Amino acid sequence: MRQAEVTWQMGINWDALAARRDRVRQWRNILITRLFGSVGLLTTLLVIGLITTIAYKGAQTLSWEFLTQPPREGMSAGGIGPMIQGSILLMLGTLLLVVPLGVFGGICLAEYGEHSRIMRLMHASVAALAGTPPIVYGLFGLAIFVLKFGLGVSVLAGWFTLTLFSLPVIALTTEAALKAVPQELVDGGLALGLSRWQTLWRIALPYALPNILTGIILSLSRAAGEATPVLFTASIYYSSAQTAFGLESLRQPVANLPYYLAEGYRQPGVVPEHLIWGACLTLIIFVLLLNFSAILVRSRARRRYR
Amino acid sequence: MWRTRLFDALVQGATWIAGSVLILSIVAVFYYLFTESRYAFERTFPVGFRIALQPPNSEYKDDLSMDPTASLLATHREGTDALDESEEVTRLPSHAELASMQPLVTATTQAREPHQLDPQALFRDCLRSPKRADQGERFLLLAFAMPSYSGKTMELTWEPDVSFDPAFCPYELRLRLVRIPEGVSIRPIVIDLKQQPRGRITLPVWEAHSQADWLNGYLFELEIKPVTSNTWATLAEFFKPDWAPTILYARFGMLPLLLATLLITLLSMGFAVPLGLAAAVYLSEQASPRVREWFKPILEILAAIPTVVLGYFGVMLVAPWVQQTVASAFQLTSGRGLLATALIMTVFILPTIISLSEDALRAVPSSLRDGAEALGLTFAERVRLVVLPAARSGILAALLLATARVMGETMIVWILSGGTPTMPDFSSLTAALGTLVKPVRGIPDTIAIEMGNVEFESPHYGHLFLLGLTLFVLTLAINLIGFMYRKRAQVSL
Amino acid sequence: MIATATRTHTTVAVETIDLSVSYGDKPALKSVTMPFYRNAVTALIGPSGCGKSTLLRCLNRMNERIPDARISGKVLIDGQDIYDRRVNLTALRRKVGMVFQKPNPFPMSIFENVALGPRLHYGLRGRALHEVVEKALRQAALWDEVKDELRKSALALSGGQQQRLCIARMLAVQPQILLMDEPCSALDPISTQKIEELIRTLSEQYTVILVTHNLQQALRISHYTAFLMDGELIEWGETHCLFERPQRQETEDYLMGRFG
Repeated sequence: MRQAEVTWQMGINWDALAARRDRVRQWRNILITRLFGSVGLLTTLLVIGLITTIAYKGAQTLSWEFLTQPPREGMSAGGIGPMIQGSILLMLGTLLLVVPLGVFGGICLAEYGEHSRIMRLMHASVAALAGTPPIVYGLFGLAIFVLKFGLGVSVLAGWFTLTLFSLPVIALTTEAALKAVPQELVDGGLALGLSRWQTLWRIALPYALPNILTGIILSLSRAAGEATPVLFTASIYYSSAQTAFGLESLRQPVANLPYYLAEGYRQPGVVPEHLIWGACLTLIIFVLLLNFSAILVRSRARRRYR
Repeated sequence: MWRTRLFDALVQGATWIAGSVLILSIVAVFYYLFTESRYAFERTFPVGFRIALQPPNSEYKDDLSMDPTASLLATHREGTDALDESEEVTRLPSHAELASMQPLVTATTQAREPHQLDPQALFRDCLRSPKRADQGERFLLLAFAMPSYSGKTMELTWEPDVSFDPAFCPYELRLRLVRIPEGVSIRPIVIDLKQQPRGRITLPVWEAHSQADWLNGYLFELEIKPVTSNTWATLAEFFKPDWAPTILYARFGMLPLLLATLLITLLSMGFAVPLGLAAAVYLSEQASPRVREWFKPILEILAAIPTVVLGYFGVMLVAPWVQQTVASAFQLTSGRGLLATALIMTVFILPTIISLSEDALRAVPSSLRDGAEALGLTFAERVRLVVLPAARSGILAALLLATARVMGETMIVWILSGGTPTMPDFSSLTAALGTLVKPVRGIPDTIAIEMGNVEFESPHYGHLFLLGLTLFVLTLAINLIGFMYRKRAQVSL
Repeated sequence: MIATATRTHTTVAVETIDLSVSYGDKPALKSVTMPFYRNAVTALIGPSGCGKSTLLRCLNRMNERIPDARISGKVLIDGQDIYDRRVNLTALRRKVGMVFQKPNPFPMSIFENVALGPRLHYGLRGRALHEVVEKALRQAALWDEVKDELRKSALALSGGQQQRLCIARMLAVQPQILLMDEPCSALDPISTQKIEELIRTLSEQYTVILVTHNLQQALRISHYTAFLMDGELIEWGETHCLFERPQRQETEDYLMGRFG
């Protein structure tokens, strides 16, 4: 241990050496700190600017009539009632299909995800599918549901396509939520004499529920705003044919908000600008409502189960 | 006890069913993207040349499409292998009538062999159905002068039909003189039309004196010779730089689309990564908990804005601005193009980058920050030298995920890109600037735009699936690498 | 090996005057006034949550990272109040090094871990940098174990080696005062022994202030000991005096094991 005796100072005036650099370091630090702060501010301003612009332009159109009436005069007047109904219809069906599939799929990933090489491959594929562009799902839906299954461009095909689109994300969030359940809790269940599946169902799942719900609603809200999966599987610009919601109408294409905007762009000049802004604002509100319900459901579930 | 067992069986059964649906959907997505692409390989390759016999110094010598006597020899979708109306119109009249109409004549026929030639069934044009790359085609062309022609020589002139690009076609194309009329001495002629897509040769005059005599004149052959299989030809063209699927001589070269997608990705990630990382660092390292509480919902709102809406926002507010500031210098009347797309794409991807990188940064144990701080590092040094390197895997995963999302984003590109497939040009600074503001078209929006008006299960439909497959493979690779990094990040922290 | 203040420690290196800290409305340190002698090991002992870590973290202003911490009073180092607004934080941290409970090597190579500080503070590079790194690693008694694998990741080292690496990392910045926050609590007995030896050696050149929950450790390696409870400094003095003849009842109770 005696080597510590070696002259530590090495004949260097450390303080002077450091003092020379301190000023530059200090300035650089201030500069970078300010830079980061201002980028944060910039992003905030960007969002606020974006939202207020759309809200300002859209709010002038928004009215009860606009939200409930069908379009008139060749789409150039009237409201967007059928599109809103169509969007809700698409979301409801997707919800019913995707929740059981996604949650049980997530359970499957969490329980067996690391078991064998095949399951690991499957895990990686699900992760990759979660990042696959929606247009690819649109193509797939067209090939298999619309053409192979002969469903045609219809609500059903749209449901299936949107289900496939949201499925990987929901399965992955469910898996992550289940993996985050503390092991002691699971062990406690098993120690009580519950079977593996009862433990999962009665203990792990309720604990993970808030996060699972958040995942479901966030991925659905993404699906609700996305035009591409339904572009060639379920959408029609607008049909004035009276549609009573029956089983038969599920075989028909349906008008919906994102497609209305997409098609409104494809046929320029037909839909006046104020209607477009109104529809934009409505779509944002529609998606944000889903988001807020995610927050609400989550906080309620937290209170109940913890 | 039986209830417990039943319950277990139910839950386990549901899990297995959902698991198999998941596996099935994965397999199905791969399988169908591949199999539907097969229609692309059933495509045909159109060819079309205009050939005319002209006097020296003809007024049409550089523009055969204006020459009323030029013959069109073509295989494209409007032609059939039998006689059809469009050819009937161009049937050659009797010798006397023809003599009064034009001094130099080219004539063609549906027949493929010289002995099948019939002076009653000669036409100015010949349109046949397009052929696969492994099928050949052969046109015969007679060339002769009328007795009224006074010149010493005549010139056989040829050029590709309007919008036909010989460089694109997978065949060997030859124009060959197969029969020299009696009394004319000339060396054999074989012209490689891919080397020399337009040109002329001088021929000694040979006059036809009666309708039956027509057949004795110069006989040329336009040979379309297959050299490769249809699959290879389709693939080779897929990576060429011209996307024009709806014109007569349809071309399916997706290179401009791929490059546009890559450029949009590169440019918008170039904007978004520094901004996003800086904001993420601000959020995780600098901001007080109160600021963070405000910031997160704002990010979520930004992330929740549908891309259609972002596209409209861009087209109504950003594109005009780009037009006024940059694009007007290039005489462009619209600001829609690469730059406007990339700007809005930046807005689209920023929240994803910020919140995912912030997660990665927050996963860095605070003991490392303490250590750096105790060592006397300034804030900037701590972030740059300790926190960012420690979060590297997680941040890389986040950025890769964001890249894949930008690549596949459809509506923003559809609305804002301008919709014209153009090859980027970086040969000079001005050209590069022009590329920046000129309209482009990417892969996803091409699928979205064209799938609406395509005949299902046609080659065009197949090519759209091939585009989808390309996009899928690209994003899949990026996502898998990202998945790997995410795993690594979980292990190392 | 029982430490005694055989050398007389006369110079005060650090001195707290009326130092109080509170987190929110919870007081963590109440009006602590005590000196820390140069080239001596001072141990801070007391039950958990008594404020010994807080006191330590006040000495290089690490408490400022905690959002709602409020600090009053003075900490004098070489006669200057480090909470004075003119004090350069970087210079302070250069002078006062710190080692934490859990080894926290940075995710980079062994060499880079040690070189980071001198490179940033003194702009060293090349041979000079290498020399400083080597000396720091020798001082931390780690050189012989790692000299052939300086490019290896620091995370591949064992826990005890990692902690000595953190000590080397601190020494490379040329500090005068070393703060150690339970540096052995996460280590096995053999590593602990090595580090204790190291601390004794270091005290010949440095002022060491050590938080420990291990009374035997305090007795083994410290020259002075301070006993804190509920944020109050109950008493302090030469280690053997405090352990053998505690002046206050609380100290005696604690030493007898009546408190956790």
